Amino acid sequence: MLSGWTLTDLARALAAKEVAATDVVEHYLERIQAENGRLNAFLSISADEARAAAHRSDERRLHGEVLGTLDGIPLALKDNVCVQDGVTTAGSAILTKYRAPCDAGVVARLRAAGAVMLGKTNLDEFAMGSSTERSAFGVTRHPLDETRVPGGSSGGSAVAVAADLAPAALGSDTGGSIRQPAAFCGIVGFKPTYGMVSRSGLIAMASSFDQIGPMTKTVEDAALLFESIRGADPLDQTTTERQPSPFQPGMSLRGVRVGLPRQAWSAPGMTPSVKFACEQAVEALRALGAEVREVDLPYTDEALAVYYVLVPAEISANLARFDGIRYGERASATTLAETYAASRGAGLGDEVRRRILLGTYVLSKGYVDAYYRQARRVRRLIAKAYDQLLQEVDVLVTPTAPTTAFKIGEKMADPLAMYLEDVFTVGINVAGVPAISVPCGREESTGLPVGLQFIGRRFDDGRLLSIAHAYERE
Amino acid sequence: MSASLEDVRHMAKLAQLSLTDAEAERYAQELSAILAYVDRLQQVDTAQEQEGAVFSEVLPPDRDFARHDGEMRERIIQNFPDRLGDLLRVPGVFANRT
Repeated sequence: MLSGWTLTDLARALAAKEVAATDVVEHYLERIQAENGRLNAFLSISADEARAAAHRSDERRLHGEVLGTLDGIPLALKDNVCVQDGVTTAGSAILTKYRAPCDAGVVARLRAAGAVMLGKTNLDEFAMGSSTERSAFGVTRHPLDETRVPGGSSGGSAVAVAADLAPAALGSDTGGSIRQPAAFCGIVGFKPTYGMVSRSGLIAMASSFDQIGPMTKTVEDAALLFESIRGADPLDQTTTERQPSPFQPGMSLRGVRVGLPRQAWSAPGMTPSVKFACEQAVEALRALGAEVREVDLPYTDEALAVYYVLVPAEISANLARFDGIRYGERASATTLAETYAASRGAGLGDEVRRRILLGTYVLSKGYVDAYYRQARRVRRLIAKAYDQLLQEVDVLVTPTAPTTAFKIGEKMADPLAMYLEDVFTVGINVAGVPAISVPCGREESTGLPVGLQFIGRRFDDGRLLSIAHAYERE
Repeated sequence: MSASLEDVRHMAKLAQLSLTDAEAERYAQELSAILAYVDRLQQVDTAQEQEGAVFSEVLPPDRDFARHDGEMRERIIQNFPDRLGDLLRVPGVFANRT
């Protein structure tokens, strides 16, 4: 009972009064108690608040005042999403005791829908990383093999869902941080069109790339959670009032035009077993009636370079506020300037400092034109290339990641090697289009999950989810 | 393009980061490798391209600034690393400078 249940299963059972919200929350609190010591998916658990919220949900249901489909359903949140009634660390030592003064926009929406917040999940510090090894609070372990990473930066959320410590979770995605851990852990991870979901209360990494999105067991669940969190928010001016295309669960793939970008499928560094599993999945799409063809996606190589210029630049601006003065850990030093430097030096981890330095460099006098401004111009070319290609086809399909989950410690020595893990995912954030990773089988030798990425048109989120759902149904 | 040790020290100063000598040397090497990779952007012809906003539409700002008293204010204040009553205590801007 309740084991492996989806959001849809839970909503049905709660509506049919087969189970109470208080029972549901106890079930997940017990799961967390049993497994989190080993997996380190959760950094904090709000047990009392969750029980109280579940109780209020049951009361509402008793009086016929149900708020919606998510009423009484527990969720996990990546720990860069601010909540008012607890600590938000962003995986960083500098925010070990930070208590946000208010809920993030998405949290406010989820609470208004009656959802129950279970706790906060582990991440690479400030969401910078592809393995969750960069957390100041220890790595999160892959549920199928504890010697392996779950991916990152939303590794904690991915494991929470994969190990059934929560039925669903929110992650954030700047260059693949929802999709890659979803692929590594064998779950669904969806990054909406930029601007669909409010970033208010998301501790900012790169403001023109970040998006919050659902990490779930099924595409149907991802669509449900997306519907609950999306929408224009006056507290985030980059949100859009445009409606996404609607989700159509029964949609057929007959006649849907699928493009396979040549540059992605022939990329060096992709393990043969990943390619094989993804090619099998493409055969399944063909069998479902999709029109599949190879396409040309220009500037694929340049997308990673654009990403590693613009994102560090935005990081260097967004992390300037962490100086030990108004919040966070303050190091003691003699002068004010030394206080800033010592607080940041001690409180910010290695990858964070590397990216701040890189960002400062590409924005500095003498280099800003050649790097930052040039990258902005190339970004426009890339966005246009995606838009144009997505007129010729309805969806692009690639493997989500070039490898399956690697061993803890394997990629830490070479930052560039870690960055290359993102080669299939960053272009999507550069262009701002939506993308979703769906499980497409296991690697034969290790049994590790492989993910297939579907990339859609800007604002066409519903149709993208429908296509992914059609594949998943098979 | 590569980053020299001097470049890294200068960037660290601009970014208010304290680094040990060993860290500065390591970052110089790592940044050089990354910059060598991103240098490929120089080959892209962007002469016809503008710089501006790529794809986001901007919502009109919420000009209705509300004054926050009571609980919100207290939640902000309780995060102060060093407080004197309701005041944030900081090292003096000009204090202890030689």
